[in-house]
Amino acid sequence: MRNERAFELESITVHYGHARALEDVDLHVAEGEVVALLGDNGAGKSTLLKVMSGAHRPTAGRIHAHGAEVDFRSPKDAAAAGVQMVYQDLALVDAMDIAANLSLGREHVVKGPLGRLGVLDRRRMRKESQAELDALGVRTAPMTRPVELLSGGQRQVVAIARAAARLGERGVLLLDEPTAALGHEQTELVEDLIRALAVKGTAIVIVTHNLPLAMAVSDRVVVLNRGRKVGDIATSLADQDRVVSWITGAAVQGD
Amino acid sequence: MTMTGSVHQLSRSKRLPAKVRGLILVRDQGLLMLWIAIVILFAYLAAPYFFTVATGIAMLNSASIASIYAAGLAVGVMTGVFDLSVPGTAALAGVVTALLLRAGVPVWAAILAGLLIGVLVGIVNALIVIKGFDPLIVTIAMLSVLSGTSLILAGGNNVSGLQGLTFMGTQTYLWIPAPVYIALALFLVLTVFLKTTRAGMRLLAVGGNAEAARRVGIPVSRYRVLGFSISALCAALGGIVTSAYVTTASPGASVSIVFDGMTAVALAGIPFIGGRGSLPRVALGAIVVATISTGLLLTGVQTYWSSIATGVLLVGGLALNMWTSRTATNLLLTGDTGKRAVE
Amino acid sequence: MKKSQYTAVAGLGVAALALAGCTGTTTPSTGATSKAGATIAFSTVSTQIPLITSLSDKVSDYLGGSGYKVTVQDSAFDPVKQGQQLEQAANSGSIAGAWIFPVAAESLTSTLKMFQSKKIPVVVDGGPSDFGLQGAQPGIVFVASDFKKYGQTIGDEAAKCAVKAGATQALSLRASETAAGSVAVRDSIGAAFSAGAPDTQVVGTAVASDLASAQTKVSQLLIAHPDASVVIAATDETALGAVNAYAAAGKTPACIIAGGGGPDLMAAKQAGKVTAVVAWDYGAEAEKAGADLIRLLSDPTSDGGVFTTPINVTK
Repeated sequence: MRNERAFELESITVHYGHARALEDVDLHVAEGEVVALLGDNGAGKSTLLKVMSGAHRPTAGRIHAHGAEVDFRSPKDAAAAGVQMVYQDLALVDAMDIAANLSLGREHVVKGPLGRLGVLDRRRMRKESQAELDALGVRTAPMTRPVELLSGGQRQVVAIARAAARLGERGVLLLDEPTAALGHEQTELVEDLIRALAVKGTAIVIVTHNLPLAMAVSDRVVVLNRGRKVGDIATSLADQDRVVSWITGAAVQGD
Repeated sequence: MTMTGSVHQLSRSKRLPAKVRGLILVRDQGLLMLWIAIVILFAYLAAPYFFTVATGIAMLNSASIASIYAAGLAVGVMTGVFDLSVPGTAALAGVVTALLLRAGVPVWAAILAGLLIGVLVGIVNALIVIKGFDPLIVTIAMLSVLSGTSLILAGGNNVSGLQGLTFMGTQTYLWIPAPVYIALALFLVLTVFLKTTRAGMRLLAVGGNAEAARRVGIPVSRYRVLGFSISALCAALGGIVTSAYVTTASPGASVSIVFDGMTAVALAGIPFIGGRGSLPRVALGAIVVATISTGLLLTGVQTYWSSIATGVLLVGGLALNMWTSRTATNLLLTGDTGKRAVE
Repeated sequence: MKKSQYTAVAGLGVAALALAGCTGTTTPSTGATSKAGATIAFSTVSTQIPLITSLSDKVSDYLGGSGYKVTVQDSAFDPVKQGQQLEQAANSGSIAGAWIFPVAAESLTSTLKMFQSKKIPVVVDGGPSDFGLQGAQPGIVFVASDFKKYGQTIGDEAAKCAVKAGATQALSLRASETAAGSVAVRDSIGAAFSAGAPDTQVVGTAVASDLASAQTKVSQLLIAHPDASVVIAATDETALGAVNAYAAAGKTPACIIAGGGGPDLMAAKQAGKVTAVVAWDYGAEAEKAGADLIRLLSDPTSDGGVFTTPINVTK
């Protein structure tokens, strides 16, 4: 059974003093659905992302996760409600290997007295990290390779996998420009990973400038312009030219 | 799209391209090769005095004290801070230990007190820095406060006659002087700590990318305190060992400690932005500096050349390190080594 | 930064202060107009140098005995700061006189002129020519150091001891040459030693500014030259480093001749670990120059004395 309302924003308004960053925006994502959030610079995408990830409290409006109303005061609250975000900067520790990056913050220590001294169980960390990546159907480099020696796509995969591993079942994943600065092949890898996560039931919101990515990977596109939602349409029904006209503000849906 | 059977391979995983592996080898082992080259050079130039066991031991001895300070500075740098208060901490710890010894306090208690002073300095440093002050300025201020404090405590004079500390100064065990063992033990403990423990791993993570550490729920401030404390503890140990070596505690903070230590850290290729670094290589860095200075001393060349050679080496080492890292990263990011294999 | 400046001071031989104790303090009997209670500034290279701290103590004792108050100004190795501090004190009228240990003599010329015009008498360490002046000056007491003679005395003492011991190899230690007079000291030590002990070869030379590095370098030289039995050390730190290094190597040197004379070195001399100490007799200087300063305080336009610091040899 698919929950059509895994994550739902209702009449979100954000004012910065007199400036209106968002005005009465509704947005919902279903389990296993990929929503692409499009818009020009200053359209309100990042503000909405901050609201969804708990980094910013809206001036007005309500947020529901799996039907229950939530009040995010910090990213921690969002994480507790099953919402994880992958920032554009990825926030990986370059000098550390893949396993360490995936385990950071929830490291395993060995059993026994050495464990009480905080000695790491690197083998277990490697095994679980490998398992997490396998579960997503991707194989990157060996778990012991430092992140700095990974390609851009591999880094993105590690960052997404780290967020996904912290989601648990039926989570909500927010991705900020996941394919920025990636080549064609690597973009495809990330797209495949996103689809794979959706198939597992994750609700995904991708914030992007990249229209081809949105068309390729999403089930639905939502367009913001000057803080208002101007379009919300199933990708299969969307015509690229119309979406572009919504983004540029030349038209709104229903015109 | 279904999951089954679609296993993507992001690279020809197991091996990095040969070029990248070569660059990493140069980056990781360049210092060792350099050291061997210097040893061979001096074995020839300063024959027959240089290439002997006794000189080797003497060289290790002189490297060992410098390396204790370097270890502290290195841990600071890996945590992402430049701890300039190290000379002040060393002076204060040395003076406190010396004064306590003179007052008749048992040796172990005096040493312990000196080390505790170090930890305390580290904690204070960290607590101020956590408030958002620039670590550089905070540690400079701390250096100033500490050297003033130790001068007041010592009445402006050296505290001499510390024969009770000879066992960790000039005493040799199996022909090898005590400071070498102390440095060895320190490097062993710190390396194991950084490489195998959760706290060590998190410390490096905080140094490498504090934002990343914060986002995965690591209490960043606590690890800053830990980093500063380790750095200051090493400084205190260095101060005590130096005092033991010369049987005199000098209250004047010797700023050259920072330069010599940072030279070893930089030679070890540890970037000053934090997050990475290998302590054994810091020890090797200290040994390289000691080798140059000993070699030039025994060749009878004007010893000022030692200072020039160290400077040239430092910039050369940095350049090599930067070049290898950049080239490797560029090859990986743009060379699209992440080609997909056939499924 | 500290190293070279420390050396500067060691080179000037402040060390000799320890000797001052035995000369005793005589209260001068000038004082036509009593300026008792007036303040004299003691401007030092750095308060971080223990030996200068004890010099300022001596000066405080002597002038304090005549009813003056001595305040210490720390130049922190900065010649500009030293000049500024002195000029501010003079302008504010808070000091009646000054005792200056220059960071860099040549940069104090204008400061001295200003003191002259304000009729504030001073004692300076250095000869008139060091400050670009000629001969005695109204209101200024000069105490010059004869570095050549100082070095010569060290070299002579070392040569005498080496010849007596029949030593064939010697080590020569000094601090770096950035300090005032240190080149003259180095050269005259070398000349005097090779003239006085032609059969003793200097097999190792080390430059070190702190105790630890002096000790390390002497240890290393001793491994290469185990027969070296004469040490010529131009400073306290190098002499003490040599003492420690020989002890650590389990050897007894035939001669350790040191230039300097700080408390630790004198203690080592007393314990018989150092053969002879050549030192500037700053104690005697403090009294002679101090008496002259007190004379100038009541007669600031008359010429101050031009003295040379006596050199003491303690065997």
